[in-house]
Amino acid sequence: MFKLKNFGNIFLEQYFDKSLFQIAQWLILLWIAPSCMDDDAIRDFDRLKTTQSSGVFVVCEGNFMYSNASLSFYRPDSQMVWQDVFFNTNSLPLGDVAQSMNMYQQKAYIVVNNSGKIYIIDPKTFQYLGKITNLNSPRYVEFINDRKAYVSDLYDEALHIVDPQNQLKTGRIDCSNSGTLSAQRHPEQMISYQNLLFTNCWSYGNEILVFNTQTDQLIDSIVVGIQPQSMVVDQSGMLWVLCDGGFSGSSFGHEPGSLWKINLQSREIVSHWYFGTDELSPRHLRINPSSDSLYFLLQSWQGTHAQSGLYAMNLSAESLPTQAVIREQQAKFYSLGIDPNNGHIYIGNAKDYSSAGEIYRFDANFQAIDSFASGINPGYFFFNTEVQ
Amino acid sequence: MIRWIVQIWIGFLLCGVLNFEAFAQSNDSLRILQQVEVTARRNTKLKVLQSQSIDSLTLKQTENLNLSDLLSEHTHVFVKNEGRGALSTVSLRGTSSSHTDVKWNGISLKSPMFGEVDFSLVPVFLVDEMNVFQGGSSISQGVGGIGGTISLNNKADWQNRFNLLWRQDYGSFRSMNQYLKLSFGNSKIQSKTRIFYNYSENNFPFINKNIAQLDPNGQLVYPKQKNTFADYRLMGLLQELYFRIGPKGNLSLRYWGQTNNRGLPRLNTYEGDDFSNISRTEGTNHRMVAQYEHIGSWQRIEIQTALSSEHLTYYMKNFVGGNGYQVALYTDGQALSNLNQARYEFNFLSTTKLSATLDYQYSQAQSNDTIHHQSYDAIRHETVLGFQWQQSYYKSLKSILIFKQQIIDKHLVPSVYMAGIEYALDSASKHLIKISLAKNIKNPSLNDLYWMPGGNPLLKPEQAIIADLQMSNALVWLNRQVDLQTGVYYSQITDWILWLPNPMGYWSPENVQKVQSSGLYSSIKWQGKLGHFFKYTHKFNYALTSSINQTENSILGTQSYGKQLPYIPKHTFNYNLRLDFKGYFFNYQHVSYSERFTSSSNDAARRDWLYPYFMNGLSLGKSLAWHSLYGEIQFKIENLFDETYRSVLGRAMPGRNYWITLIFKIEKKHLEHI
Repeated sequence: MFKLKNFGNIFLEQYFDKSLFQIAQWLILLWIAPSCMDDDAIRDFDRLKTTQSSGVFVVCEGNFMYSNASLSFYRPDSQMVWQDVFFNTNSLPLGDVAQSMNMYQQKAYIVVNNSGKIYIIDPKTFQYLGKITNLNSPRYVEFINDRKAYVSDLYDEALHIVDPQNQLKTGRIDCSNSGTLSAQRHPEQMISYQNLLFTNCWSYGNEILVFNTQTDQLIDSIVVGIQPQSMVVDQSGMLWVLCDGGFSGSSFGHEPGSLWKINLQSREIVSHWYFGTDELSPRHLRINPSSDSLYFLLQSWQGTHAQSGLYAMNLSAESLPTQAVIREQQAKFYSLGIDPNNGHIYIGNAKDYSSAGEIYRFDANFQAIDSFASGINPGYFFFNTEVQ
Repeated sequence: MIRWIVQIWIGFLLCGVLNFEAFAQSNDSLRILQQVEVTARRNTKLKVLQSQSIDSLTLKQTENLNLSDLLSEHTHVFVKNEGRGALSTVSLRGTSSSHTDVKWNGISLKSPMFGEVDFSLVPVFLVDEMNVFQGGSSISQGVGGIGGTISLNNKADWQNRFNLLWRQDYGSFRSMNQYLKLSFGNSKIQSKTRIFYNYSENNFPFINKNIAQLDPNGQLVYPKQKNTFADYRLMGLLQELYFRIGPKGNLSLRYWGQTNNRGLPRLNTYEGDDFSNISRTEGTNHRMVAQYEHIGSWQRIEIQTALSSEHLTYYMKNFVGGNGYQVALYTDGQALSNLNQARYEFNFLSTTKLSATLDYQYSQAQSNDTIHHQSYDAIRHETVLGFQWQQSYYKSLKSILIFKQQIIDKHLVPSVYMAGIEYALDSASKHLIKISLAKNIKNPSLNDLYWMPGGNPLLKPEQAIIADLQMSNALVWLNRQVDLQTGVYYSQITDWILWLPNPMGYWSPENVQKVQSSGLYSSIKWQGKLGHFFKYTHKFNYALTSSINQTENSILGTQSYGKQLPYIPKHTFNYNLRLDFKGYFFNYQHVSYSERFTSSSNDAARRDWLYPYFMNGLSLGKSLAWHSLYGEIQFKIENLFDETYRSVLGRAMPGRNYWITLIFKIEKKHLEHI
């Protein structure tokens, strides 16, 4: 019978003999000798070579401070999706927190917020063409002409002026309100109308600022609800602004979300509606191609809510919709896009926010079509109808 | 080429030592058995608990490192390092950084606000004794260390009469460390003063392959950059006073003050304005502990009171033409804690030890975002009642039972417990088997509860059930000593807190995750002498960690179910070789981790691939001793093979870099043995 007290001696004699030393020696050598880190292997691959026509770009934020933003591309006609097209084409990471995208003169501009830059790519081949750098915290880009575009900034109470042709920052329009404790003026989304540019001050703000695009001057401001989050313009020249109402405990205040209708010509508020509850917050205002319906997401702050989902509102309606046309149910809607060609609805689901997202597609009658995968945190849709 | 030459050279060195060992072993029968002095000292108080201790020699040899470097090089703890001098957090047994507690002489170094410790800010120089209590054993140190608790202690050397240590390190990238330790006293009173100053411009160069310009041929041209705005400056003072009061009483007073001022380097994908996105943290900590211990023949009483304050600011500023720098983010956080502990231990017939503890901690935290005018001010009262029973049965079997009940703000939270047994396979207790089962909880931090915006006051404590089996062996024969420690564990953590974005654009914590963590670990320390002058020490640490997401949440999706948690490597390994010969010494370190995933679904996108990590370093030096004087010079190379590598996503890491160290010491001891 094995005697436990002798275990130590048996262990010594049987296992710590010469052969063990030799095994240990080879194990250490085998481990250490080939141990090297080949960083270049990340960039050593067959790059994507393709030429695409129209399709949908899904701008995926990635995770803050991970530099893992990405660009997915979807072809509705073939129902094919290409992931991470910027990296796979150019062998460069897109950066940290890709925020939005715009197109001008057959070039796509991807705004990478926490990398302080805008990448310029060919929307057909995804080839890297250039970049506009030296920005602070860019959010959106709006083009005025060949030599002028405006860039909004999350941390600067100003609009930055860039030259798309030379790919340089050329100016800055200060729009701060003298640093008082009142509303902050960080421009967000932008809409140009005639010689004017309208921008919403979302973060801790409650204003729509109006700039003269010829003189680059702030000429007016329109007070709306707390935190105007998104805006669209309809064919009749009305600006629709959706305010999320802030959050509970905010130093700037908190109120139910609201929708505002503003006449772009007169810059006067035509009407506005407040949502009946502050348990739900509206976001991502969009308009359909026929310019007769608004779409937006209405969601709760934490967890799920029976009323959460996509809402539709006819432009002639006199009150806010009360029933979701697509319920959120067991998903967490993260982004919204409307295909300007056919009114199809794209809703991004970020799932657990640290893995691939999923995009749900619905037709204009809110019937599910299909879904496809995207990069991490799909935050913005761009429909490249300009590609010929 | 140089890399291969050095690797082959290290290989030969290893072969030489090990073959010499084999030769020595083959001639065992010709040798006369010598008396062997076992230098390993077991912690008799906590024998049944499973812990890994860092020996005092290692602490002395690594006193210019911070805690994160020490842990990654000498334990099987995984350290997530955001860059040289930057934030370092640890993962014990596949848990998150908030699940590891760090105790300094009984008080937690965890910020009550953030609920975690930045290990890069804790210098090893300030530590006399270190133990890593993993899994259920951490309950002996307090509530909350679901992954484990790292215990750092200071102690009096009653034999000391006068000791002066001065250490100066100069390193690459304008780096400098200065350490001064002065201790003096007699058998009744001891004073120990430690002062340190660490500074680095940390502006190492690197080729940035995450951004590029296009040359006329359309090829990518990568810029050569410097790691700017990454400097750090740490200063600290530790003062200890020890008094012997009568034959049975000990009084100790300790004060640790430290300031940290550190730049946060920008991501390597950043191409914004050169003078924008400049972030910094500045922190000041004061910690004071007074402890009285009465040791009787059958009882022990310990009373401790501690005061801890923390002040941390973070800001991010941008340069705006015509307006100078504008601060875009500014957060100012302050926390104050008062901890009072009483412990009574009763020993009965030297086979039974019963102890009862009562802890009360008051914590107050204030956080203020001065840009957005968001703030919170929170107070928390925590009371912990504890009971511990240690029992010896015969000579070979011992058991331990720990029970703790926490009351937070007058509310009972789930109790924690640990039950374990230890069985000695031999009469000298050199071969031990330990088994334990435990339940532990971790309460949300004050930021989790009250951060504005996003804090969630409805959060529940995270809970863990932990099972451990460990075997330890101490083998001594001829001139060799081998210490082995091998264990397996299994734990189930529920209500894991995750910060998730919400529709309002800010983040909020929720109890959403369930994680199953299991694995095995092994540590081997193998030391010996060849002849009279040649000493060698091999140290190996290996851990296999499976930390699996088992969250069944239809909203979060199923893509992450059954997957390894992000940033937790399956394999962790390190190896240390130390050779000493007549005052000359050589040290080689190797640290490796297997691939780490950055997405919860373990999708290994090429762009985000954190490939296996292998880091090598070596140091060599010469020491001189003459009577009570001691001098040493050493030269150290980090990133020996000048590798370009990733530790986390988006951060630049330094290439090969160097340190030169000078040490001077005067030491006088009392002759009588205390």
